[in-house]
Amino acid sequence: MTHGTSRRRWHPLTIAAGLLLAAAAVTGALLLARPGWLPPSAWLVLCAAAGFATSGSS
Amino acid sequence: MLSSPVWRGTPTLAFCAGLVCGGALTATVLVVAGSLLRAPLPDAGRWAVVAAALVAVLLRESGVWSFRLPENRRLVPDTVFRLGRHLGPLQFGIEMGTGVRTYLPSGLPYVAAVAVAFTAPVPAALCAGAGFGIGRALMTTANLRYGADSAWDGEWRAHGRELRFLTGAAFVVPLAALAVTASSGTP
Repeated sequence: MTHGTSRRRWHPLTIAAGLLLAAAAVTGALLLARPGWLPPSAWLVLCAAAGFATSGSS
Repeated sequence: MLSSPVWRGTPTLAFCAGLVCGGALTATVLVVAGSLLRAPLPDAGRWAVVAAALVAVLLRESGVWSFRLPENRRLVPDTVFRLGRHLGPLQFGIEMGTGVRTYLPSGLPYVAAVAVAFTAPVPAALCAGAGFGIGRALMTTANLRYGADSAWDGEWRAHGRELRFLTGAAFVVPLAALAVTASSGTP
């Protein structure tokens, strides 16, 4: 893996976009299928976004 | 602090485990305290409290409304590393993962705390706490792997507006879905 690829992978925008994709996936599944394990997954993803949003503290 | 040699190998794993444990600890406290707060409220009332907190924080994040949120305005002290190569990072992670021992520059965790306290059952609260720790672990992992010095922090500052939008959307969309499923009476 090149240095440039690594930097793109770990760029804050890449991670934030990944979190948004995960949020969209879990939301779609929650609204369409509604299996019992999905609400905790939705909580996990939304709070991961909240935790990542605090990154200015590093 | 992230440039310290301690942030290599297994101590990093101990730190990330501490972040997840700290988040779960705070979520447990919130759900216990919240069980008293939410008791007199109907479901719609609980979600109304969450919506009010969300609107206030979104207005603050967008610069429309300026107010201070309670925050422990200090860094976790370096002295946590006196505990050793693994226990030091573990304690550092727990303190940072609780969200109450150091700076918290985003308003989203406050909304998450209100949502957990007023609406989350215990398994969901534990997932929420673990998720908060994972989010903070993502930050430190990416910061370390991105490159030397403070390049990652520079990127964060350069794209602050886009990052606030992306993380805000990743937070609000599943929260809204949870409110919809709760109001329709399904799990």
